[in-house]
Amino acid sequence: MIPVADCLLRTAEAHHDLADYRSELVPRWCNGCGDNAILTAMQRLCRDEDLAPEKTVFVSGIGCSSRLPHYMNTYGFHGTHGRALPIAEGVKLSRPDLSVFVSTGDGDCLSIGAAHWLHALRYNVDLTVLLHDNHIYGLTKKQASPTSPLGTKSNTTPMGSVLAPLNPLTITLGVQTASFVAQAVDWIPDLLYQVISAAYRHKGLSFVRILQRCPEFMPGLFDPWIQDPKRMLLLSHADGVTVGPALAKVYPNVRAHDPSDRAAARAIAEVEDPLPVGILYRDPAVPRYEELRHVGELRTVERVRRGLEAELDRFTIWPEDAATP
Amino acid sequence: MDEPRFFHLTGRRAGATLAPIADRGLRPALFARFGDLTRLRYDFPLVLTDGDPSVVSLSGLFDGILDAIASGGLERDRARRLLRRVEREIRALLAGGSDGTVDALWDEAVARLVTKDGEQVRRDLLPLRAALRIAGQIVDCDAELPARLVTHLWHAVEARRAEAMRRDIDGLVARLSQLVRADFLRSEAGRSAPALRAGIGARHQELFDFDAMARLLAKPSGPIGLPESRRRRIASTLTVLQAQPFFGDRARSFSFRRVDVALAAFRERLPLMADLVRAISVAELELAGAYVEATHDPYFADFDQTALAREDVARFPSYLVRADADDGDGTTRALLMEALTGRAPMKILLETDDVFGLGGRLATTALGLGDVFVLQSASAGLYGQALRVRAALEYAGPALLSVFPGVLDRGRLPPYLVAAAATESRAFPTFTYDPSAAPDLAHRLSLDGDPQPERPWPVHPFTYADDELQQVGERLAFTPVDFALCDPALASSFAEVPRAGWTAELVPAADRLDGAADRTDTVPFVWAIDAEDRLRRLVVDERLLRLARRTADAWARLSEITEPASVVAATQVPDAPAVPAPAEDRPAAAEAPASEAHGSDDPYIETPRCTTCNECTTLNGRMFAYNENRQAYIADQSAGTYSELVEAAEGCQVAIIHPGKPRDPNEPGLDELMARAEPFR
Ligand SMILES: Cc1ncc(C[n+]2csc(CCOP(=O)(O)OP(=O)(O)O)c2C)c(N)n1
Ligand code: SF4
Ligand code: SF4
Ligand SMILES: [Mg+2]
Repeated sequence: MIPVADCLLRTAEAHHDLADYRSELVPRWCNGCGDNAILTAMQRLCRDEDLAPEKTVFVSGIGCSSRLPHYMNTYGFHGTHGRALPIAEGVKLSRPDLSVFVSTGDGDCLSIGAAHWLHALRYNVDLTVLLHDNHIYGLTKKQASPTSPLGTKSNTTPMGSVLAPLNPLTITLGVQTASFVAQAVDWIPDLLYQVISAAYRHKGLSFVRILQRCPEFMPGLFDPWIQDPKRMLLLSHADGVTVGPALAKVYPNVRAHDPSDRAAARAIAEVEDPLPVGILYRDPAVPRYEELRHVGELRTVERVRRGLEAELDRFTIWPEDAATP
Repeated sequence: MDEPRFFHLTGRRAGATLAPIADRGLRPALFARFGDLTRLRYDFPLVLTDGDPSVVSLSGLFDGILDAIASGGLERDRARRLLRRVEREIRALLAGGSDGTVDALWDEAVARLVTKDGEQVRRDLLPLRAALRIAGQIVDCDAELPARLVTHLWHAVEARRAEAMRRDIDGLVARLSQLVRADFLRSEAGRSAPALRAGIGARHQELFDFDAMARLLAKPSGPIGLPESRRRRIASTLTVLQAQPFFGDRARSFSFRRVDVALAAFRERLPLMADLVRAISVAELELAGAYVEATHDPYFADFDQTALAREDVARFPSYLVRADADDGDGTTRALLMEALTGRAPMKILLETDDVFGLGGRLATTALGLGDVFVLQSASAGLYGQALRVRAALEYAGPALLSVFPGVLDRGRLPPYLVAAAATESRAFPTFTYDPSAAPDLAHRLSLDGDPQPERPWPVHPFTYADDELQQVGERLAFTPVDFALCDPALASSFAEVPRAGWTAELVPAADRLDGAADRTDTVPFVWAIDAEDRLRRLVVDERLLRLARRTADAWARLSEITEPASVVAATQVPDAPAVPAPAEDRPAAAEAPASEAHGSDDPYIETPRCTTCNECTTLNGRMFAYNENRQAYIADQSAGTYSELVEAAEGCQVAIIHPGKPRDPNEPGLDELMARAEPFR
């Protein structure tokens, strides 16, 4: 950029309030739904990072949680079920100047969208991905999801679910190119905020699993951890999120964990009680697809047309006696 | 007074003893080793490539071939011998005046070998030829070398600069065009039947009812059509971006032979540069949606060439000027100051033959200008300095490249040898001054490329056979006086003393230059060799000694500047990086446990722990409200009852609402309510 322009743009930067990121729509989530806390944390992040609303995109699939883009006064793409990640990757690849966030549910991401999830981790495009994990299909009124606890009674498992839940953290950490893996809960807003702001700053795909309350269909599911703060394990590190004294007073169970230690991260990911929250793993050196792909030349209409013409010309056959055009 | 002494003091020969040296082909004695350069392996010739690195030495290239074929033992040895022969033939061809690409000269060299040894050589060389992967022009160290090398590197640097800028500009054009296109698609015309028809391939046009389609298309939400002022601004910005004459196919020339012409071109183009910078700035603002007419219109109305900062100018092409320091009327020297102190990124290649005169002093003088990148090198050292030449060309400001091409005596001594001698003797030392390298003078200046930099001049072992053919070893200094022997214009400052006159009065010129020998009763001499490599002693006149002393002083000043550098480097080891300050906690106010701020009788919420779940605010939106972080607090206790407080506390899943004690002692059912409030105390 020409220095003059850079300087002018910096002077043109506006400062935003949280209200600037709230759309006119009033969230249609149930009272007590954890999605509200995630929405607030996102709006705080946008305000604190001064993200220009027109340069910010929220992409989602289908589900209660996937309604989040409607409530942000930014660009949004309410996609199709399970396809939030490929849509977001497309947005980021063609417009690398935008900040791209993804909201996806446990059904959306881990069930119908599972293939995209693994490959998004492999591509490591610079996205901030929030997995709203309420252990249930909320929008469709209670069907067991891949994270539903064993024995969950639902519309599709009236006798109680028989499959053991899968652990999104261990699976994510199993992908060699996963570059940022964290866990948060909607009911510790301060920690949630810190985790997603670290995720936002990470260059590469940051995967944040957020345990999210669904009082409507899974009432009391997380009560043991909400009511007994000692059952929460707060991961603290200078390179991760730091647990301040006030937070430590409510949640005394704090453990130092270096997010560059993948083996330790995998061990922590297996633990469910006490429930670990914080940044499990981070490796800023994992190459991003957009760096590796190196599209030097601009993809203008002319270039695409030229490429297509050249490609089609290869298959053109001219009858020997015909005059070439 | 004896003859040598008389010559030394006056520069005139008084009797018949001393012989003049002009046209006798005498060379400095240390040149004895370099009789035939074509048989030696050294930096030259060079290959100017289109790749990276953009210049390689022919020897390096051939060594690369040897590594590439990578077989060991005898096979490799044979390959090496063959390659050496091709290399030598190419050197010989160049010495004979040939010119061309690596490929062409290789073939020519092989043809010569074939006439000597037969066809087998060609067959043997085939696999080696196949491993020759680098193409490019071969250039030898001749009068044109400095200009060819510098121009080549300049093109490489400018191509990169232009590529980056073109990408930026093309990107802006593409995105601005998209803006215009999107505006059209939203417009009435864009949604009309003809526009829709144009969007579908001709073959299928009949399958659709475009009128029906146009009727179906809803009017887009929001205002339609860019405001007229914005549309005009974008259009004129696009025009400037697309017509700019600095980068790409329509770019003007930026290479000149005269400083004044280059300066005039720069001045004439300044308004166009300002136009382009303005267009880029406007485009960036438009695309960021940040163009505010009230602020930016007046700013850009006044935007002209005076607004261009040096960093803005640095994104434009630099101006390469090849100038002759020794031009008859001195125009170049007169204009140099203006060229090097202005805003224009002038890259001036200054060639001089006048090492002892003004031309040789221009580079050291330019050191005083502060932010000029200065590089001085004889042509023989340019390959070693190629990276620095590149840095000078990439540098954001003006640069002076002062080069001694070494062409003093056409035909007799190869320019490479003469140029190398100028460096070796300190008559024309190699140095670079890079203002961007460091804040202090000592670290900006580098003497890399000068041999034995800790001495006033290099000293070399020298062996010869005496009258009895016994080997004698000596250490010879190589001073500016020895170098002067390469310059026919200075021949009259030397006179040969015949063998019979080699008395104790004669002392090496080096001893006189550094003051080791007394000047009253000695006469300085240097060793020379003739065409048959026989040693001769030449006495030197005082005038040349003075010139030599001056260049020696200049070297001493240069090394004085860099010397403190090593001292500083040794003592001022940078501190270990400071331990990073611990990451700041969230603002303390937001985190202070609320209980401590309240009397236990008042109701309160641990606001920082609120999850924005809407339970309490739905229950009573006046009593419970959200703060600027959308976390609940008790906005007005009087707006509700104690019963509501208790209900909210029970409903809050994270149990952060504390109802305190009832305010109204008459509220019904207080006993029961207080019992329910107990767990939330
Ligand atoms: C292709 C497709 N299959 C199924 C559905 C029905 N469907 C809508 S939402 C949903 C599950 C949502 O669960 P989750 O992703 O966990 O979101 P939540 O509502 O829990 O936030 C399903 C199966 C659909 N919309 N599209
Ligand atoms: S159904 Fe569950 S997940 Fe959906 S809005 Fe209600 S509480 Fe939230
Ligand atoms: S009920 Fe609790 S968590 Fe919900 S908004 Fe009120 S204070 Fe916040
Ligand atoms: Mg769900």
